[in-house]
Amino acid sequence: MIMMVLAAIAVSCDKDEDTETCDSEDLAEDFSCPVDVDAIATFCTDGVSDSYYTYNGNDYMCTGVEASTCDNALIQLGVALIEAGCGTKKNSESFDSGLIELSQMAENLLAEVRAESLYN
Amino acid sequence: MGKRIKKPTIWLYILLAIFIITTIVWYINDGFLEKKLRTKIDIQEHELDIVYGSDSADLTIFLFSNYSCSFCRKFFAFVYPKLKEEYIDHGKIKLVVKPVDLTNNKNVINSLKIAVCINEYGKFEKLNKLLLFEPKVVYNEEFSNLIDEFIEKDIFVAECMLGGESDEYIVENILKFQSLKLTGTPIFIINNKIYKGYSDYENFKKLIEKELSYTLH
Repeated sequence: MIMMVLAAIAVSCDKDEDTETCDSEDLAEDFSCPVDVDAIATFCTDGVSDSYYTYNGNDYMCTGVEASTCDNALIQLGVALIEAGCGTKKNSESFDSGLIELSQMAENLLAEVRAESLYN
Repeated sequence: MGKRIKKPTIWLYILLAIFIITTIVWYINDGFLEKKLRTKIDIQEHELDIVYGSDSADLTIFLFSNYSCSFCRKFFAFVYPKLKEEYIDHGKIKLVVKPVDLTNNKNVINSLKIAVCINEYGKFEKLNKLLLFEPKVVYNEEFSNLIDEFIEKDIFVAECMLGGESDEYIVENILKFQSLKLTGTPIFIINNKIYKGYSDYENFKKLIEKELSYTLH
């Protein structure tokens, strides 16, 4: 009976073979870049749990519990676009344009940081 | 014709199986197997870590975090305040934050360096609040100017930023992060066990109670 239980557990833990699919998007086209810029992001997923962005030779995991790493890929892309002088708003839909422009609240906080962070 | 098994013998097998399964469950719940399964993780405090809580706390939680990680910010916005009130302020928990850079971007690295340097040699509250509220501020020229101002005005901050101390620390954190085969943040390490990702306060509290009970045993 124990052997049967262990066998059942072993079968239930078997992982299905990966069926990974990838999709590339050239963001430079979307952001009216004046020059060629390496902003091709590839998004791969196995359709179950593992998914990631590949950009500039690095993989940025983007799973359900680690979705924050998607931010890192997007920030890298955002910086590349800004440094290349691209627009800060996506042509087709709104993109996070706050990469370099600060809200009033952030400006106020920045002033507080300047005034209150040093002992001297 | 095969030999028939008598009914009482079948019941004996069933009872024996139930007994063995119950024993295994009891061992697991008692932490017997868990203690054996937890391998030692070599993680220690560093003087530049951002620490909340007392050194005499019952439990130390290590947290790999960064400001560009939305779930790390969510943790500090929604979980940390209750954690502080219920556990940290009562000396039960010490939270040791190890900032880790996953981008290799110079603005992000500089922001982590100034964060740990101001935490060590200045007043961190406002800077922490700014980075949590608006992490993209690190790409703003004003923020770079601010770092230069701090370096110019405070010799300790300057030494921390330019003398290699904070650079070594940030590199050490990412090497430790990679050596543990971690890929994303937030990562919590408690009692040699790695917990990945964000969870709300209720679930985090259950985890803490479990780990506190493990520690006190």
